[in-house]
Amino acid sequence: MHVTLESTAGVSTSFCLARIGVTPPVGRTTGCRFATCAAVLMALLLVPRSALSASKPCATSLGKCPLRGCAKAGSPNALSNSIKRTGNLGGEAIRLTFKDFSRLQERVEQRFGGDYATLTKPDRLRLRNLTTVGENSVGEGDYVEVVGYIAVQPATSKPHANKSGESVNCRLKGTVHNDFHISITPQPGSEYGGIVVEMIPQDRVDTWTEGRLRRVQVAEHPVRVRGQLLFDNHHKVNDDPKHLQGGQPKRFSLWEIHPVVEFAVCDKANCTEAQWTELEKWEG
Amino acid sequence: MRAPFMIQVAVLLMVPFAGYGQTTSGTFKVVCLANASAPDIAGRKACLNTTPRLTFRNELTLAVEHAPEVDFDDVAEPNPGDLVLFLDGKPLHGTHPQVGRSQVDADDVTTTLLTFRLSRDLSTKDARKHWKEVLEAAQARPLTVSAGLATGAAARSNATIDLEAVPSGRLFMWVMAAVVLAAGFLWAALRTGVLRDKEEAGKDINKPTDRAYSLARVQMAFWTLLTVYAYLYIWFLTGEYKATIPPSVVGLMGIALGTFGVATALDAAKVATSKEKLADLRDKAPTSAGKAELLQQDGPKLEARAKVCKSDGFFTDITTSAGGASLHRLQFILWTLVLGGIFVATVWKTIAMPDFDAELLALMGVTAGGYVTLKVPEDKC
Repeated sequence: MHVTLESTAGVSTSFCLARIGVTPPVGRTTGCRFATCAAVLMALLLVPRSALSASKPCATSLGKCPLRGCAKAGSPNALSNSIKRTGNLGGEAIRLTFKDFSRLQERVEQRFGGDYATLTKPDRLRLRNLTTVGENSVGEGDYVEVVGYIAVQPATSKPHANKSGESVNCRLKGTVHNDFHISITPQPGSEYGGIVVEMIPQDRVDTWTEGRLRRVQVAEHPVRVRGQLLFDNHHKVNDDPKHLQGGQPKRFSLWEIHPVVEFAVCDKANCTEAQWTELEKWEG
Repeated sequence: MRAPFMIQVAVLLMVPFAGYGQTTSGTFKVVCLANASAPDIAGRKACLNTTPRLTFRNELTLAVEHAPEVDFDDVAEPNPGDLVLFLDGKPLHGTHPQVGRSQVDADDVTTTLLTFRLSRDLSTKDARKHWKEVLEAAQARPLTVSAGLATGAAARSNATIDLEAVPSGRLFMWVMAAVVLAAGFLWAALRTGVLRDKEEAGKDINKPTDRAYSLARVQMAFWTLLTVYAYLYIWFLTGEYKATIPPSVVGLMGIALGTFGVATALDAAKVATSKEKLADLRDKAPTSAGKAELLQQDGPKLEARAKVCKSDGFFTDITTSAGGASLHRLQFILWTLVLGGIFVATVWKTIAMPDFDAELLALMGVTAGGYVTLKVPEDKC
């Protein structure tokens, strides 16, 4: 077996493969060169334990997972984790269009100049009342709704639970411990033209399942999602299939509905208020 | 070619983890360095447009944004008075701010001015370490300025200052003081007997400068002078007249003083013993042929021991005894010079007294002990 890694510099490197029972490329030095092995070992040894333990759960169950998740108390991540799990969601939801989500993204870019990977409490206050929709000023923390479809493209697209375990949920693994990530688009179309909504696992309705969401997606029925408007500052916009942002969810705006508190489905293209059916009661 | 490349790869692999585990405060942020007298401070209105050049005893004002009325985190905001100054990411012990005006803007964000005085509290090991790193960094680049709890994370900040740790004006003043002090010391050393042996003068000693130099006195003067210079250097540059003197420097002075004390006591004892023996021989010589012979044989030696030696020049005096150059003296001199060099370099670089580790101090103690022990059988001249 030959395994050769071509570096960007064009240098072919065999990573001590002989030592682990893999034959190095023909014509190249067999076995390990001391400096090569030493360099790789050094890199591995110098990785802090905290980094290696980053994927381990920090609580034994969701009930014992604090609001800040695995983030350090008082840190920006603790703040965003807390917001993802709270929110004052009383009153009537403000209806947002996809254009509103686009405008919200523009306002954030203007206000922070792209420098929003780490947001503090005062920064997050500046995400409130960011734009006006009708007579309402809208920003992070507001109770909003959006009407659209579950994205159907690319072909692999489907509502899914996070697999690796997120800090906000104390890195617990498994569907019941993780957010459902759902891409919502204006028409049954590509995730690149959509936004993301998230159903958090805490107190999630039992019948909100990946399977049921998948059926809604396949049926291409309109959905109405209600919940807290949240700016997911830890990611980047990924809306151009020609210039993919690796590891980033596909979407044109980092504004999410998170947590989702109400998910309704309609069997018709245009629904009146009475025709929406809550997901848990939907029989499609 | 491949090995260096792999080392580069290894280093690059480590880069993403370099800042892992580091964090910043999520409850407040430093907006900028601000003009403390600006009437309107909300947002960035009071921000300075340039990177200020500051030195010790100067003040700097940070505009800090926070939201005391808003609670959506599980950790409360720190009390602004409990914050300390962070330079280049290092918390600086004891640098608590004067909390100034606050203003709330349309987003309900509160901006508060925190004024810090650039002064040092070097009473802890961490504080000395952090200041050392800060001063080293200041020689190479502007320093980021932030605030945070001494045991916690610094606030996010893009503010920077140029720290001029050694302003030329103050350095010039110190050099002047040092020159005056050195001139006074040299005069005393060359014209008086301050660094010379104090035993009774013989016939060939007509003035104090004829006396031989004393190694114990010279090394005592060496450390006294270095400590005074260091103290003045720190005081002139930082204004810290209550300069923290680490225990190891006190220990070093103790070793110097102890060496001097023991060496002086040994000399005095040797003089007393020699005089006693000489008197005894002289008393008994008229009645005892044996004592008379002994007096003739040892008399000059005992007389010489009871008197001070004549100087053969500074270096000869401190490095030699009756038998020529002495290894224990050379060893003592060399280690004194080595530690002195470290002392000077550290003070110059860190503007603080050095904190010698216990092993180095013990080595100096052993060397000094060896010197005084081997001084017992030695004849000076």
